[in-house]
Amino acid sequence: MENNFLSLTNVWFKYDKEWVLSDVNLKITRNRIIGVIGPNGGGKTTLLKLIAGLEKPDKGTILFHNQKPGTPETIVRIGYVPQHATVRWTFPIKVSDAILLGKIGQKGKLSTPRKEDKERLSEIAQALNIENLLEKHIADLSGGQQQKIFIARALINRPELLLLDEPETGIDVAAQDLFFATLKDIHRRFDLTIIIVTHDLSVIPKICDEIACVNNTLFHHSSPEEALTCPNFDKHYGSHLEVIIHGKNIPHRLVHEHHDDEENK
Amino acid sequence: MPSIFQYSFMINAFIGGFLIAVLCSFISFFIVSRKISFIGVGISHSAFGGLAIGLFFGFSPMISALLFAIISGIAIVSFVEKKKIQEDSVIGILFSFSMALGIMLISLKKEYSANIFGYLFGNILSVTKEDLIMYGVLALIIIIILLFYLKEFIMLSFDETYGRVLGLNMDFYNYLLTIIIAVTIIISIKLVGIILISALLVIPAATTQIWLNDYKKIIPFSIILSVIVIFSGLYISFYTKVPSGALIVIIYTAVFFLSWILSKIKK
Ligand SMILES: Nc1ncnc2c1ncn2[C@@H]1O[C@H](COP(=O)(O)OP(=O)(O)OP(=O)(O)O)[C@@H](O)[C@H]1O
Ligand SMILES: [Mg+2]
Repeated sequence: MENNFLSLTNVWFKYDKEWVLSDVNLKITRNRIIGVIGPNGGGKTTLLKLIAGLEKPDKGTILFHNQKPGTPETIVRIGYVPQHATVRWTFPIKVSDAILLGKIGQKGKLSTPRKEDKERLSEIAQALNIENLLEKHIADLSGGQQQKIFIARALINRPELLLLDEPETGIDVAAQDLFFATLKDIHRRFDLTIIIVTHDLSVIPKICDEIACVNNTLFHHSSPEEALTCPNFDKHYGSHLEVIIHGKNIPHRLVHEHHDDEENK
Repeated sequence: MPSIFQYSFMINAFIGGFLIAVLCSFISFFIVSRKISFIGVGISHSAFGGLAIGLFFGFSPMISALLFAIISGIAIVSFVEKKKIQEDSVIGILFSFSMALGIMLISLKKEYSANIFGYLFGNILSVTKEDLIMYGVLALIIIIILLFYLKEFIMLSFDETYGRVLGLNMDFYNYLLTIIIAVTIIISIKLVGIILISALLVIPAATTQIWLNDYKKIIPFSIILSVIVIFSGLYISFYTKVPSGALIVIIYTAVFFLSWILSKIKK
């Protein structure tokens, strides 16, 4: 059973004519944090959409608890925070109502919040440290606060798997450490498996148990330490990477060496 | 001076006015927050073509107007959704075609020109008992649907894409809301008139949103405000013989601007 938490087998996917993802094989076990990296347009967001069930593979299978994603049963067990917020910021709604609105009840319908949902809300709010924002209007939040609200909304259905697409966007560098520590904390507290797409390579060694590199296909999947030994890493990622592993008590570090002449497209 | 409630048509007008107040202001919340007032304009003007067809061929003008309204509403939404044509072009085309068709048919039958003024601007004398029964049943169905799917309609207006993430059929709710707008417009035609109804689908929520920023308050306050405005409009219309729709829209516009100015002063 444990092996069947999430598996992608020979997954191929295209929007139009060109394959965006080809022959992806990935197995993910419970209670891990997986960092997904790769160049712009490499298919990271697409990979999350496939796992969330928003897109269907053209070939191959994705199984989450032995079910194909996109059914009411899998939707409540997978929380998804998309890369780009799509809310209408002028909409007259309080933060707490915006979070509770994401609650799915029977038969995949939205449900009226009950006592246990409100308890869940305060539990999440405490974990994410957003209790003071709940009564605010949604438009009155800073970029970093907004990001936390979306995470809170994704957690309201008590998912087992949380998909985060570049959640560090909008969070200033000074606050990022705290933000990632918060992620680590909700991972433990709520028994969450987290798949996090990020461009911030320094995050990987700090919180991730595994690293997955995506550029049209999954070309590397291992522990952060082993990423060092991957011979084709640079070629696939499209720029030079250097992984530095420190001693036991010093955090691991994955350094992304930036060349101005080969700036990302 | 005789009491206005001695006249049964006035009682009909007030009952009808109450139903319209509740429906229009409820729906105006979704129209204002989704910025789709063009749909109200498009549907109401298309309904005119439907009315004229009914009058011309001698079957119930309300039924043909209803069909026209629903079909044009669905057409507008599906064009806009598929992003094939800009919404103002769709409405510009539908709107003028329907009005042109209406005017042409009506000019062929001279005897209807008197009726037409009422359809365009509202007439308190025109609401019959049969109309009220039909309005009452339709209003009840609409209110039940709105309350039953309130969360889904809120999600549609607040974050449609996330609704899809949650597996909700957002297209269904979008079309359902469009049909509700179309039916509400038809219910409102006799009292408010085709030209003015789109104002009633915008002003209630636009006014209360000046003061409130929570939908849980905006919707009920819009309804209360609309009942007051529409009742005053009908009352004054009775004594002045000015078309009811015109009066209601003028009062509502005054309330809107007053609120707006007051809110500016307060700041
Ligand atoms: N809805 C869509 N329709 C057509 N093509 C798409 C669509 N979404 C993405 N693509 C294409 O698929 C490829 C992968 O896109 P994707 O968004 O998955 O990349 P990504 O790795 O998330 O990039 P980024 O780091 O910029 O977010 C890109 O070439 C993109 O142009
Ligand atoms: Mg992306």
